[in-house]
Amino acid sequence: MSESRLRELYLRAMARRAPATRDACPSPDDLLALAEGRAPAGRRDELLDHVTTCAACHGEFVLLRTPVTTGRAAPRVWAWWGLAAAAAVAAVGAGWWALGRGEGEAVRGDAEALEVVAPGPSAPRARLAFMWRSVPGATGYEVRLGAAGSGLRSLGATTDTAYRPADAPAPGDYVWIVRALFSDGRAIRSLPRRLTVTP
Amino acid sequence: MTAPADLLSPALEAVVLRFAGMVRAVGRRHGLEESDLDEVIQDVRIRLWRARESGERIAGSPSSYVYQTARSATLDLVRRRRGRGGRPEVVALDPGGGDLAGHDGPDRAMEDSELAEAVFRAVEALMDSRRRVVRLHLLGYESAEIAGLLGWSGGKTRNLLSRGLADLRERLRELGVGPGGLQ
Repeated sequence: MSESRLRELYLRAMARRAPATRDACPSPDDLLALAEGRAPAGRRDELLDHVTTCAACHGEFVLLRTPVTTGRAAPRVWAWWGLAAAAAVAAVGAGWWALGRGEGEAVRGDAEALEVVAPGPSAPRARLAFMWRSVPGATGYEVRLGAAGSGLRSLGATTDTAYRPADAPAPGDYVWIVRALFSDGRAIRSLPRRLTVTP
Repeated sequence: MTAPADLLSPALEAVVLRFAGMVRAVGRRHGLEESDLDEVIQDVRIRLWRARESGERIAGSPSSYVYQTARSATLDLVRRRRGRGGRPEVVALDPGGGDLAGHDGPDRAMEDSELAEAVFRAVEALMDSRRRVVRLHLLGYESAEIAGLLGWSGGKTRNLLSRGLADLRERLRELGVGPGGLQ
């Protein structure tokens, strides 16, 4: 039996043994400690025994280990970790203005909706930039914006998940959305958000 | 479509792009879902952009900054998944183009299922040190990676892996699993 066949069969058995719940699984922090080589020897062996037999934890472990693997060659400056953590806390503060739903386009539930990241409720005209989270399968995105109380018009389109308009709208109050476009003509969009553009 | 917006400095964007390429390469090797990788990479960009917008100066070592940001983004992704009760996709390495689903009908599927259990049990029966190294090997880790994970030297790792694989084949023979499958 070839090694590739052995691997295939081992993975199959591991997948079949996936736990119904994750109650007995190590925490993400434990998995990260293992990925970074910070787990004490005894604990490391326990964690490895679990990770190499639990498909769910192994998937998470591989994911957590990816930055470690890719960043191995880079010098580690742990002081920056504090800045990254601060940025993460700031991200939690992003708010939603749900003003209603559009016609003919899907706006999924909060957990799956096209999630907008920036700008916040107000932004200076010179630094206006739109950002959102990527949508799997989307081939492009369109940012639409309109003055409060009027219709939305296309501000621009991009294949990226960020857009900075070359000609930012004049100071004022607006509503904006971003649409994710798919190759088959479908589109989903974010919930509308208010935006005050300041001078 | 317009060109991507220039939201990060060219130097930082270059690091992000290089990181994204490396993440995708590693992710593909371990069978990670593209959507997971997209989410992490996008989260990294968002966090970097936020840091910049809040006036943080990303100086000195943008590479380190990107990797540390990726670390927190990945950890948060796993935490969010757990919070939602989601289960990540099974990580399926594809060392030889093997198809886990099998397409040769129910008999083949049944045989594969029995074989898979036999392999798993045979691995379980190995002694501790050999079992760990063999499991990691079967999950697609290279010797150097296994050595790092276990805190072993390269020589010890290769030695125990070689012995472990030999033990595994012997146990499989005892269980009636030969080169062609169940016997």
